[in-house]
Amino acid sequence: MTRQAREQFIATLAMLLTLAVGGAFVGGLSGGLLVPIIAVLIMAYAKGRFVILDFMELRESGGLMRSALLAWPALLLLLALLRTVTVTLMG
Amino acid sequence: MATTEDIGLSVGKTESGGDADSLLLWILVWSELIAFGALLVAFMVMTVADVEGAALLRSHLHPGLAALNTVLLLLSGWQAALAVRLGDGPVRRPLVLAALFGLGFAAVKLFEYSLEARSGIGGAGALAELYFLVTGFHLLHVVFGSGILCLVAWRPSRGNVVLIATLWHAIDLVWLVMFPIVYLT
Repeated sequence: MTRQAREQFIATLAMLLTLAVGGAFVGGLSGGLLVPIIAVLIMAYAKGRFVILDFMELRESGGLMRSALLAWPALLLLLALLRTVTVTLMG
Repeated sequence: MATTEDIGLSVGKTESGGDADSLLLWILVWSELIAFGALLVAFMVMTVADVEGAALLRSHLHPGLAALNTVLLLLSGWQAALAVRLGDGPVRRPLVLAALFGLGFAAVKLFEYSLEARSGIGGAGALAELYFLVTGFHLLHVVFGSGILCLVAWRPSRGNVVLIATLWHAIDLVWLVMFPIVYLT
């Protein structure tokens, strides 16, 4: 592993941990409001993206597998957003 | 006809079996993602159908402990990814550390379950059952994966390191999506 690759790898972890702590903090203070919940879901997607592209080493791959893997968290988190909007409208 | 290279399957390719190993690996990964996807969709549908039950369930959960578990699993995934990057180098240490972080996740989750059981989470009814099913199924994967990580660390081969690391990242990814759906939104 080159020094640059090692530094990038450590930076990825730092970003993931920041997003994890930040997401939990924002989620804890959201109080059921829509905007912070959207922020939490975006942060969750960003974490998943880092794991897929950097941990699974798919950043340089342009194949269908990469797109499908990125679509999986996007779809579920979009459904979570729809659920929150539905519950807000219902109640 | 498209090859596995064309659809981006080469990441998991191992030195011994090439495309066949790679295809098997991604079938395993996708079977996990589809199973957990179905469970999470069911959980979301249930929370819409039973809003009061969902609020009751959430009042018993501990997002702080779940956030700690997110950190543990990310550190674990990072060590597994490091083992893959080291190639034929010294992979035992990162694999064992990945397994230990995974077991740390399991310990925190069991502690969280004990708190929830004592606080009477069962009052949330079917939603509580679904919560234990979804998170418990994931917990079993983490414990099993930690064991496999230890086995691979004992006798490491490049192919096995790539295989368990990729599966471990899939388990990690499932938690990253599960965490906001179950605890935060």
